[in-house]
Amino acid sequence: MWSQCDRSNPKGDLGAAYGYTQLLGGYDGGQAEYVRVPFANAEATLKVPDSIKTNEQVLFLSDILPTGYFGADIANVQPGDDVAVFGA
Amino acid sequence: MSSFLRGAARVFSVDHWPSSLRKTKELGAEIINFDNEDPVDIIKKETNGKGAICIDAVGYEAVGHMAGNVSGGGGNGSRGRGGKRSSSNNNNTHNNNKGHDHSRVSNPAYELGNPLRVITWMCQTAKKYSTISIPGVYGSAYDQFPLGLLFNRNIQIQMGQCPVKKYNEQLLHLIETGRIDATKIISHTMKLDEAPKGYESFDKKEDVTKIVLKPK
Repeated sequence: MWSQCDRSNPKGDLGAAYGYTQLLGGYDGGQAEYVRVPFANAEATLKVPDSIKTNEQVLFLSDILPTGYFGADIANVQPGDDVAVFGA
Repeated sequence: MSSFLRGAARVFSVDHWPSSLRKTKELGAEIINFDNEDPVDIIKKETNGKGAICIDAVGYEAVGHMAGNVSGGGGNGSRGRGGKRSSSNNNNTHNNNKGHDHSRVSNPAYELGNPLRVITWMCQTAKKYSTISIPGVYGSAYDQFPLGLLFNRNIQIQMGQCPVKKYNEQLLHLIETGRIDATKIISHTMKLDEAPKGYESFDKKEDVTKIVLKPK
């Protein structure tokens, strides 16, 4: 259920997210030395392959890269389309 | 980046911050600064009147959208060319929108304090029968939603919080194989204790796109 998970956020209807107010569960954000990972057994399932050499390469998988791709995916962008993105 | 990945022919990037526009231009987009030009007119002209697939990547944080304005003035669903820029609206926007002074905007289609500014632009720009995508976050009530415009152009809307984990594996594979390089959007790397300074320059858009904070 990802962002609409019914189990991770006891404080609201939306799924939980880190650092996203009480509305999304009140979990602390990631701009810190350490991060508590609730439901780590379910959460930390993505294994970064050894061929990835720097953290920065995969850092944006945590939010903005999937969000940008999600934007293009739900817009059903197809080869040859012209696209207008509002907000650079 | 994602639209090109999916095979888009052209991508128009609409904003008014020079540093953000410059970055998207580097990534291959054609930039439109809404302070100076009307994005609806330009995109319509460039696409021979057909319009484009529209993505709202900014949400309620757009200029003049701020939550405090939602129940206030502005927010008409029409084109709003001129006439809507009352001085009370002006003050309201400036109080809620630090660093967003738009008193000298020359684009006649720009309307201060309209929480549906981007949505309305998209309704006017979207190709007929296309889907408008809203990954940008909206939180509160939005009155006078341009339902008629959407209906008349057979537009669908898709939106919501991004299901990050749905895309993680697929995107990791694209990174691993070198098809995408998201590090291109990093402009600065700082120590974690420098975060306040980082936020300050991000707010002022001092040639900042994304800042990576390193704990120790």
